[in-house]
Amino acid sequence: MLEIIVGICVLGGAIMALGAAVGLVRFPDLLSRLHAGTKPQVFGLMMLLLAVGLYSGDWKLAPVLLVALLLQLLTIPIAAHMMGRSGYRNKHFRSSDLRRDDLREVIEEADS
Amino acid sequence: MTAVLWIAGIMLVLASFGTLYRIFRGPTLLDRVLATDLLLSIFVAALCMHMIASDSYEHVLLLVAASTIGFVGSVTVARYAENTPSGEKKLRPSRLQEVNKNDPRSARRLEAVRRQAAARKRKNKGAKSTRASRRVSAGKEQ
Repeated sequence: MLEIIVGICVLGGAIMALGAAVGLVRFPDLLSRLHAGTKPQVFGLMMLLLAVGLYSGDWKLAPVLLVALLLQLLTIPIAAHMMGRSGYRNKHFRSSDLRRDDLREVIEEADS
Repeated sequence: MTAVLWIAGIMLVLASFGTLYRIFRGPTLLDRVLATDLLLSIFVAALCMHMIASDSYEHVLLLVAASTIGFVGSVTVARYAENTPSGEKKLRPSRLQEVNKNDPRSARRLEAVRRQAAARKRKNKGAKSTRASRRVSAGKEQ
């Protein structure tokens, strides 16, 4: 039973990584690639850490795994936000792809 | 368990080839940074699988170190990857892209903001015309 859960978690993490790589190759611009690329870094890692914790069956590992997960949860949104911000300011996207763009007016007003 | 680990490992190899393609091909610096970040997270996943396969858990601290290093690297590069010649508050309206065609309301609002900005600029013109014009011409030469 435990082995089945661990196997599902490992396969889930690997599928997340593969999906992110496919998105990275196929998507047209930086913002959509950012959307695809940050998925396995949080959810895939969560599944894999769960798999490691379950398979080891050792409670001494749990705090370290929790710290790794919390660090990733804290840092990945910040990194993705910084990258998206930089990508927007450097105009690495097609503006006709966006349905709504609120940041642009703020920049225009700051410009005046 | 071994078969599952083999399948997952092959998936990770394919994924890392995808990210290497994006690093090689990526049109901009930020694409490459994103792909490198993803490569690091694939490496972390492979480390987890290795721990499960060999049933030895000495490398757990490497996971913490890897996430911290990835964060510092990507944030640093994203912070200083400003290709625009002037800072974020000095983007000129002429350098902005064409109006978003999917949303006429936003186009109208943008037009209003632009008109206000032009009026304010006309009002301020007398005060600092010489310095501003000199700066504009210097920017054009670059």
